[in-house]
Amino acid sequence: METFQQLLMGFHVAATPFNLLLCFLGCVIGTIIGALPGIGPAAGLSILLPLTFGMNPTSGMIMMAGLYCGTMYGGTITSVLINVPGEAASVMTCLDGYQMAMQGRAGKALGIAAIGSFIAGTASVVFLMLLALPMVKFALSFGPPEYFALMLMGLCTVAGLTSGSVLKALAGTCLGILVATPGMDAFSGLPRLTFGLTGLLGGIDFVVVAVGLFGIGEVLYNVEQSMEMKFLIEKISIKEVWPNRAEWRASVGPITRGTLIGFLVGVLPGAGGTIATFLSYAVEKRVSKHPEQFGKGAIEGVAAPEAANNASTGGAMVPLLTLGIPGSGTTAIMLGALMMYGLQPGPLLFLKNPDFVWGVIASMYIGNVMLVIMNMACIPLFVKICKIPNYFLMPFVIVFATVGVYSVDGNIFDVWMLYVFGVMGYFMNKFGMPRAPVLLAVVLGPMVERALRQSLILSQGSYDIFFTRPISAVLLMMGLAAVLWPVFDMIWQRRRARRMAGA
Amino acid sequence: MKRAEQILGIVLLLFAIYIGYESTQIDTGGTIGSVGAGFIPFWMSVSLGIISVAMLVQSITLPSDRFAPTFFSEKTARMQVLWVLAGYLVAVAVMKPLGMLISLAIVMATTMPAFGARSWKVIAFTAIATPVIVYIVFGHWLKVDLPMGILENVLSIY
Repeated sequence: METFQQLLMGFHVAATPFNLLLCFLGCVIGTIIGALPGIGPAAGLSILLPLTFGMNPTSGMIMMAGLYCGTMYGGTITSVLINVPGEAASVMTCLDGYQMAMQGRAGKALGIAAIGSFIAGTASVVFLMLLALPMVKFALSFGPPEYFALMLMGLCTVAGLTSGSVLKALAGTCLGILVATPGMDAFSGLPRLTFGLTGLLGGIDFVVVAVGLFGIGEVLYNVEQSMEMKFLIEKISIKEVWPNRAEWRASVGPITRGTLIGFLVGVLPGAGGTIATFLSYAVEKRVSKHPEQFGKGAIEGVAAPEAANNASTGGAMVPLLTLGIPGSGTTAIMLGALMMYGLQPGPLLFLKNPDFVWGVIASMYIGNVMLVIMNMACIPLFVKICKIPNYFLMPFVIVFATVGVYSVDGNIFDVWMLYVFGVMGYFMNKFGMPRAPVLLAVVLGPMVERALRQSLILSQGSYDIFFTRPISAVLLMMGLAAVLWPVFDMIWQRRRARRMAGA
Repeated sequence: MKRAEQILGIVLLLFAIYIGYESTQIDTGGTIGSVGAGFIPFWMSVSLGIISVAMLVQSITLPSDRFAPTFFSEKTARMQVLWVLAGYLVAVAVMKPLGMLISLAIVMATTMPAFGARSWKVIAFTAIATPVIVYIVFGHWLKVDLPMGILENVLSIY
């Protein structure tokens, strides 16, 4: 009952004309960003972040939440119509979505993706709502050692579960924490690692890092990629989009399972939408009565991953809103934004700023309704937008990123730093080094340090405090397990391969 | 690409050593109940050093076929990246003396050809129109105090 009352209050906050407009704008921009290959959700969010600083926190976050959900919807369009995923979480949709388009069923693929996304997105917000208050009550008992362990676990999980080399992800985490250290030390007031540059006395703003790594870095990477967009179908009527009874029957199970998988994976730090889609696709193929049709245009192969990647958005918001711990690059940007708005992320956010939290949750419901309508009715429009040549789009990203970063503090030094992080982002992309751990570490680094030092003050310098308190001990063990997981996985794979070769 | 991976390992190792040294110049020690300002940077640089050595060893011991054959797909791709980087560097360098608007015009004019724009009319028009839009949206509507440089006396923001 308490949750329902809070949600009503949230709708009251979110349903003002201005907030509805921002939610709509966020959804439109998010869908476009999601559809455009080369600009991921993190890049889009980071580039548009400075624009929200002039707004009140609730309105700013509503726009960002709309944008986040929109990117998940938008990625489908190019996956189905040109076999190019708009963002990483849409890769699995390409497999069957494009095949459906080749068979003249592009409308059905886009339709079931939009409907599945709507059901999953809405259900994940319900789960978020139901899980949030118990999580908050539990987290209120946390002290600095538990927070330290929780954040360390978050960083380890992101590094351990991220795709690609774990060594590179761990290196990225260390780099991120180092990037967060220059400036005045909060405890002693001593300047550190400023290298004589006065611009570094205030530290390096996370916006600069986010926009540099994801915005400028992505643009530089795209210079090398030639992306010619050849759409299979450009005009799709609403009739073609709506699934028939057989397609509905085939999709209900995959959407339900995709929603559950997506939400649960979304809650885990580091896993995110991409892993959720891979997992849900694999599950569907396994439970299907006709697995041979997967990859050849099976509607289940579109419904399940699309539901999973949209359900992951609600899941990812659980640790962000209740514990103040982001689980991915995109939610790290949202957490950074929260702090820049002057809000203290964590369980107290629900008690001190309920209008903000419930306003954002309510706006996610509204956003999902807007998105399903837009994605059913406006596909031809988005196709047209996707055809904007890269030579307009990419330079505009640089311009927008530069002005946006400058406008945060009005400091040209930040633009220099943007250049540095842009180059870093480019090389990280080239070397296959995941950038999310860096950004997460930049955001969490100062919080980890504060929690560590507060814990050691509490324990008078004894590190036992982290192992004698059950919650922090369990969290640290989980973090260790996450880092060691790829090693165990490799050993297991080798043993399996040897066994297969022996047989 | 194998060579590039080795260079990456060496660069990260050197960076870790340098930051580790700089951290020792602050205060790395832990007195009772607290750790100093250099504690986190020092231990992070130690961790980064260990990881970079592991990366270096991996890049030396793994066979070449486990890596992508080249770092840049084509020579022209490398030149285009360098061109965009150089153009952007010039734009950032002249931002203070010439102002942000001229600097953004340079960004547009240098970046658009790298992404395949061929018509100089389109490039020139966009390079001029973009700063105008930025001036109106950010300078006037959002009241951002843009550095105007040599245009300070010609265009006022407020």
